[in-house]
Amino acid sequence: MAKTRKDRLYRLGFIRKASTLVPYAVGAWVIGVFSRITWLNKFLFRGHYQRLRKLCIHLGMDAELRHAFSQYISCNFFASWRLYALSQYSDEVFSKWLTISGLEHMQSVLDSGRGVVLCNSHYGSGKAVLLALIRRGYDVHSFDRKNVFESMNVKGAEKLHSIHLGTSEEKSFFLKEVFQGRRALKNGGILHVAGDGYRGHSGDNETFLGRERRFPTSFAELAVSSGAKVVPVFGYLEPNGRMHMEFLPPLDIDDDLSNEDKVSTMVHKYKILLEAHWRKAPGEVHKNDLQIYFTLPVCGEGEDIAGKVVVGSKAQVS
Amino acid sequence: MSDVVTEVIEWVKENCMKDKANMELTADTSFLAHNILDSLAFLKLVSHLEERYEISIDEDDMSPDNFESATTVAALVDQLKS
Repeated sequence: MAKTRKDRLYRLGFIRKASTLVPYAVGAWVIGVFSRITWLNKFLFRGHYQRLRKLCIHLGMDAELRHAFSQYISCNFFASWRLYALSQYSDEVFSKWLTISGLEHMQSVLDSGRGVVLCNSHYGSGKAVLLALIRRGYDVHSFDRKNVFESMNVKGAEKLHSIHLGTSEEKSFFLKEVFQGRRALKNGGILHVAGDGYRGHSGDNETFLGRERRFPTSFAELAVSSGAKVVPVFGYLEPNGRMHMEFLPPLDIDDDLSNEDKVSTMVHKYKILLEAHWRKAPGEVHKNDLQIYFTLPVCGEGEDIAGKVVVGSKAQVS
Repeated sequence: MSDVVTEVIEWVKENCMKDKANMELTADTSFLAHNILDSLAFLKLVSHLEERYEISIDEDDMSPDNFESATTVAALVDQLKS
């Protein structure tokens, strides 16, 4: 039964129909124009604008708020249509709209016989990385709440092996799913996870842009327990609708560390990467993550905030 | 209390209760209700039991019912040993 508005849109075939009627180039152009109507979007997405504005001020990027907001609208409100529309194209057209760099970082790990924990984030056009990989013939296992490509009739969909986590309301015991993920890694495969999720109760506390945030350790623990390497990936969305997937070098850790320290080190390194991306392009941050960020406790006096040590009164952003 | 139950309790105390030192862990304490183990900890427990008792735990046996408490885990282990 459809639970969210997006689910209902899928059930009605709205997104599928919209993608067949509207070519991606046209739709991307329209979205680009719409996203730049700042006064209208400030009215329609008031709460989102306020949160993004607070983040930009905190990052010292208030001068770039207008551009960031345009980027935010494009990233956050038409993602399903983009994926579906792009998925229908030939490889030649697809590759004009979605480019990849750094794939050799992942391929070299796979060639060595080790598994890859592909650590994605709720940022930019990150979801499109699955589309890009299955089109290139990669088999990918992915922890997902649901298989977003299931209703899309995506080319190469059989190469995506979703490990369904359901929603927080549906279940909280994932032993079988984690076992399946680890098995994929031990077999030298690719396991796609989000390194910045909020589910579960355990994790490492880190200072993230001035707030205390818990980062799940699961991606790192799965890598350590299976001998796999963690390869971070980030997706970027340009104003013209083009997407770029950047695969980064595997997180480098000292083999002499204890397993516990290996996990903590990887989580910390990932946190640094995520912070850098939030700072570089706050408009690419996903709306739910931005909302959650402002509910996190602010770090206290003397703690590192946005790369600077705070002396004196506690820095308040909220 | 069976050896397997004791083994499970000791393993959980040693590996999962650093921040719950004051909590009493009995054979029937619910791991899930008290958030004592997360999914990865359960996976490590599975690996430990497989090695310790030379058994293989199939993913179909990885249900919340079988991993509810030390008692249910021990029952699963005994079933696989026999």
